[in-house]
Amino acid sequence: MSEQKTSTTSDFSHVCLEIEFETVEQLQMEILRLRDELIGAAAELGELRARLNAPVLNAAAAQTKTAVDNSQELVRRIADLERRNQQILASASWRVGNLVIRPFSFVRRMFSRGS
Amino acid sequence: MPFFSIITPVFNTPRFALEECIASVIQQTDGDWELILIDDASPEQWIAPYLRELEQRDPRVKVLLRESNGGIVAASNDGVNLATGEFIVLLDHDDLLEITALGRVRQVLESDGSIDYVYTDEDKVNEAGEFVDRFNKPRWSPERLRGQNYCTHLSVIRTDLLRTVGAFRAGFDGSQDYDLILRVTEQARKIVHIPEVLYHWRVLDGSAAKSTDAKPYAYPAAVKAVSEHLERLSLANDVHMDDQMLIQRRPTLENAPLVSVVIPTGGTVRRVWGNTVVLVEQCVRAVLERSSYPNIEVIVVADAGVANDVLERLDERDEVTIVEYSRPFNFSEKINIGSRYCNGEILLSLNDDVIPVNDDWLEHLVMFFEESDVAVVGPMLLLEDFTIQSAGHFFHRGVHEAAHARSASESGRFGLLNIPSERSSVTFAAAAIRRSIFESLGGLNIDLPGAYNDVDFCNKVVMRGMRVVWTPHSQAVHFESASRSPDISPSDTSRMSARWASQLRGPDPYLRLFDLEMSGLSEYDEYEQWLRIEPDSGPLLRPSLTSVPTVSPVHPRLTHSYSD
Repeated sequence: MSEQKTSTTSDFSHVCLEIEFETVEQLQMEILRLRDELIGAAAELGELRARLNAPVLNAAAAQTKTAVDNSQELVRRIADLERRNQQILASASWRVGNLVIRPFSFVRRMFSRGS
Repeated sequence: MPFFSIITPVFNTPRFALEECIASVIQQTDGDWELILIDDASPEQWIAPYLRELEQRDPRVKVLLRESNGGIVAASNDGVNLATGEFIVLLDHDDLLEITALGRVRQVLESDGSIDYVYTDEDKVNEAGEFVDRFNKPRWSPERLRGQNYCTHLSVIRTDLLRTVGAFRAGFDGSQDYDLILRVTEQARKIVHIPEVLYHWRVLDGSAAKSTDAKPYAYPAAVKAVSEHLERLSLANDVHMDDQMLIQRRPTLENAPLVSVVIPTGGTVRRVWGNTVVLVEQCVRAVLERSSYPNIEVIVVADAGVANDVLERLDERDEVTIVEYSRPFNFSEKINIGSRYCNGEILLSLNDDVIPVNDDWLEHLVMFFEESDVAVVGPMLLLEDFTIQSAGHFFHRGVHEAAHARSASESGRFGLLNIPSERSSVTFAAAAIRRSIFESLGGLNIDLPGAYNDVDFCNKVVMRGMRVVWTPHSQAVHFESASRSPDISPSDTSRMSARWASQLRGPDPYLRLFDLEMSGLSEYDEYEQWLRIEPDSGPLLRPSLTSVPTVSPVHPRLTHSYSD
């Protein structure tokens, strides 16, 4: 894949920006996933708490604690990732790179289609 | 402890009906109320002395005899002026309260001091004394209220708020309560629906309960009330009344925000209405060429196997961006990836086997995003034979397509299929989503690659206090086999259960009881089971009328039978 991209541009800096672009893309997808996971954890907590109201489900208590811990960890991870994402999006290389890369998107599609 | 002021304007009421009405108040299991009867100068000579006698016999009864007839608005406002209660209860002169009504409302009010408005389910009592046409209402549904006054009976309103909004207004006769409810709900801190029949609307000759022709002046008043309501909220207010007496809004978008249509495709070829077509090409062409909406971009998320010539033809259109997807099928991930290429405020998730029916289908979806708490809007989806595929989702021990396989010409109970209204969820085969909310809620759950991802997302929306709206005025055909069984894995079910078991178990807050017959779940045993688990399924208590302080014999005709 990287060889194909390199062959489309003689300017090495474009290749570097392309790599950065793909990293941000993946990062943004990961942030989406984590946001979903965070909300899902809150929903699961609600479900578990509802079950806790029933007297028979002591086992749910342990699950609730685990879910709380997971939820707090998710909040921390999301905050880290969002901060990292904002740094990248605010960087000059990203802003310039995004503009530069855009015209090559069709070429990139054609090459990746053939791969 | 709330004290209730029951306001009942009286005018030439049939004697038996007024007696039963008053009896249903006096027999309330909760005694903390006052009944304010305002006679609007009835020509019937027996009414004034009858009311005076009641006032003398029961200190909770207050009577005002107007010297001249002022109409329902003036009489009601006289009652409001006399009220000393913390809450006002609206009761028409020939209707009945369930004898537990005030007790149930009190329980709810005492649970939360910020509740300003309570409404309940209702039914009708016909001339044979039978209770019919049970109206199981949805949870607070502002969009539905703009289409019909579904709240009306029983309405209990905090007195301070009612006075603050100016009580009943002249010029809305026949729809004065609709106008009031619209103004009250605009400002209410909390609105609660009690899913129990606590009010019985009398069907008499000449009553609105019997015929829509009884009060023709009420309809222009209703249109005016909704129009002014929309104006107060700075929403587009081009409204009219349709032939079913439902109020409809026409989309009048001052600014048409960019709609980014995301279409996942595997490049499927199949026969549609006798022609062999590439579904995604048919879909893109229909969206771009049939839609009257002026501001559209299309993002096609294409599997690696899609033929090059198809992609090249799609790529020739300026509005189309093609994104390649080379992993195993995952609808959620494809939409999420497509969302990254969106420039629009609105993301429209669209299957490649869907095409719009009406030119203004997008206008009818986008118009609801005027309100910031609307996150998702779904259209009426039709099958290839123009029966209904989905009128939104319905939760009842799982997820079901509401009104599935019913005729698209049906209006549904109480006009349900003709009114835009809130839903628990809609299918993302076609759904408009506010993109900022899509991103803030983490997009679609990629652990649900095929089924339930839309339900999961809509549940997240509702969990965050936002709304999912469904509209019958945007229609699209979904070329999905009517008999196709959903491909749902046990892991999908398990994931959904972990997050949303309580919601999916039902009862659905927006589509209830008799809507079951529209949802493909009308099997008798399920219906009966559902009845047993519903909180309002217990035996209904009716006024016995035996201890009524009437001056004439008790009317014997009330029975307990429902005849829907």
